[in-house]
Amino acid sequence: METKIELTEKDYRYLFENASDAMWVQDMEGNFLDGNRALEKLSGYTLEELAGKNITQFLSDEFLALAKEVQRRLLMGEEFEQPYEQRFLVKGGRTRIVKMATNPIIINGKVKGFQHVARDVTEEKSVEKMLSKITDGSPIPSFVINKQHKVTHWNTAIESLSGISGQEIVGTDEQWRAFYTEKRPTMADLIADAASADKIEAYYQGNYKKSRLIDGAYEAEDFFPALGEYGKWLHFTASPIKNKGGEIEGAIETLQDITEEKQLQENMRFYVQQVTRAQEDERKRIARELHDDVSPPLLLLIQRLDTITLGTQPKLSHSLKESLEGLRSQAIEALETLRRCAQDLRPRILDDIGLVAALEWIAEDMVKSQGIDAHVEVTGVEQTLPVETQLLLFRIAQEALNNIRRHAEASRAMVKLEFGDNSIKLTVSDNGKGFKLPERMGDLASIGKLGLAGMQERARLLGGSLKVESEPGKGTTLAVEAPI
Amino acid sequence: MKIRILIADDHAVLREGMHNLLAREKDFEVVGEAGDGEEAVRLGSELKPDIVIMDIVMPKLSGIEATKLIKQASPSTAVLILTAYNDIRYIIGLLEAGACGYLLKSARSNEIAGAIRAVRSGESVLDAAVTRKLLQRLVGRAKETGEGQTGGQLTPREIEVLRLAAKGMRNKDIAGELFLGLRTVKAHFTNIFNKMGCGCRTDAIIKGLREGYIILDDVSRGESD
Repeated sequence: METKIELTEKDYRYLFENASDAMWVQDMEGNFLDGNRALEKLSGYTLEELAGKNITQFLSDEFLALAKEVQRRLLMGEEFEQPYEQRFLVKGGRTRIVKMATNPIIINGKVKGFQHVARDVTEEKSVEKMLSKITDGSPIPSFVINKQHKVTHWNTAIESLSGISGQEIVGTDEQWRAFYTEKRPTMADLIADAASADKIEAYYQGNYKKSRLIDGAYEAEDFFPALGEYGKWLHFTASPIKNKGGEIEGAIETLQDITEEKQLQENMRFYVQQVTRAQEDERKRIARELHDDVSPPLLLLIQRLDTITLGTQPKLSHSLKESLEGLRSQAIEALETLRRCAQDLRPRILDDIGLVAALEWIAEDMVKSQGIDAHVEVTGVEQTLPVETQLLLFRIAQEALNNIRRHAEASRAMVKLEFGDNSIKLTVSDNGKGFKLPERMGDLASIGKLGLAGMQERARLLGGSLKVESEPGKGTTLAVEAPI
Repeated sequence: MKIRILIADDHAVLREGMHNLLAREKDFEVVGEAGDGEEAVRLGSELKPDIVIMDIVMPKLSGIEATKLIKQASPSTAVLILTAYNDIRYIIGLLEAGACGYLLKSARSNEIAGAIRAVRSGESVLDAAVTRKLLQRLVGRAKETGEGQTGGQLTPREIEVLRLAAKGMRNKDIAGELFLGLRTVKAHFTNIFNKMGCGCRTDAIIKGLREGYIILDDVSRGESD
């Protein structure tokens, strides 16, 4: 069954008056005859005020010419594209850009006037224009997509970065081609969809952070093997583009080639690692020299003094015997000092007995000297580790305990060593005052946490990484996991 | 019978000093000298000396590794390690490797001679605190490693002697406690060592713990230092 709905003139009137697009009727001279509420909004005048006005009052010369040309074509029956763009000077001298359509009103075969439908696109247009200005004039590679993920801007800088021209890509949703070999969302796509942090995490695994400056914007750093000859490191930021109502209309993404910076960083890191190694070698060498070359003569001296005072010579006077004893004590003291130095440089317990013993040793020292309840827990099957691995883990734990001693104000500290089948994990935690972590672990050195930065480099030397958990008032936990 | 001693130290001068020092004692006989860890193991296994005086840092093989190997080849040999450090954790590490005790490098000649004789007579050469700590650590592990083989059954009296030794008591105190002569206590230790295939008191206590002659109570009830 079909119900035919006949619209009365009253119904049409209702639609006309309440339409969201401006509509009006004018006579051949351009005088307003009728209009709707949206026209009032567009023009800034009430319908009563408009009744005495002429369309020419709202057009500059350039756009009056356009209006006349449109009328001419309509009268001559020439084809032209509708809707077309027009500009009106409205109340207060403001310019409004509209997309409009015009039709002649024909009564009894004669054109008596024109009817217009116009949509205000000023805002869209100005945003777009501004974006064009920003992106095209910028040396920073950038592109813009709309809500439908279609590229609307692709500047010269990104053309040269990606090797893809704007002509090729504007109007398509193939922005991924610039960065990836397979289709996937770019950061801009995720932002345009107002994607959740979880979703962003799924695509950028910890390599991203929320922008501190722009609400809803994210920045990230990643390596793009497909870019350039050897791949490139990019730092990129995607921000939402919102309309006046606060709805997301699209997203803009700017990129920065940080390959060189990264290489410098890598070189620096390599250098730091070499220095760390060299420092350990040097410490070991000095400790060994103290032990092998400096101690024996002292020991011999002590032994000889002992032999003399043992009294094989009966003539030795009491006072001489006493001064020899004094010399012996002094020599022993010198030896002790020397050993303490060697021990500080490279604890023998680590090389002679092993990592667990060495960790227990520094934990016990912490109990004795600081009154901090420190202990060591070992899980898994203990195995002998390569000398370097053992040393690096020990230094990390030592530095962590030093930090606790100096800064944490903790009453308890725990060193945990977990032996896995192919890995080893060291965790040092305390119940102290904690601290505020930087947003990125790479920023440790720059905020003055040099000790932590050193631990991080040692963790890298182990082929692992350092994880730090801390919060003011909640203690600190450091963990290193390394393959063995 | 003289106490047969092997000296292992990579410093020739120190080795010589030690040799001279020991040679002055009439009841000692230096049967060999090793200049590195491997030589120490070879001589230790061949000569099966009563005592090895062992330095730690040596070429080829460390004194600690050498100790482990010598204890395998010659369980009745007692190893005394020469060390510069007497941190308790460090000493425990040496004992766990199989050493009977340690000698500080700066020890006097009479202290060294005394320690060697003490080891042979089953006397304690360790602080009671060190012994206790070592045993507490071992008690936890004994359950996991299971029982070793018992060479021969200890008599109830020998077990008693061993338990008192685990508390860190000196031979004299054990003699007093059990109303025995000092010589008798020494004789008991000699028998205990022979039956258990041990070289010293530390060994016997560790083995005794594994074989169930000593229980946790004997250790933890030990008096404070």
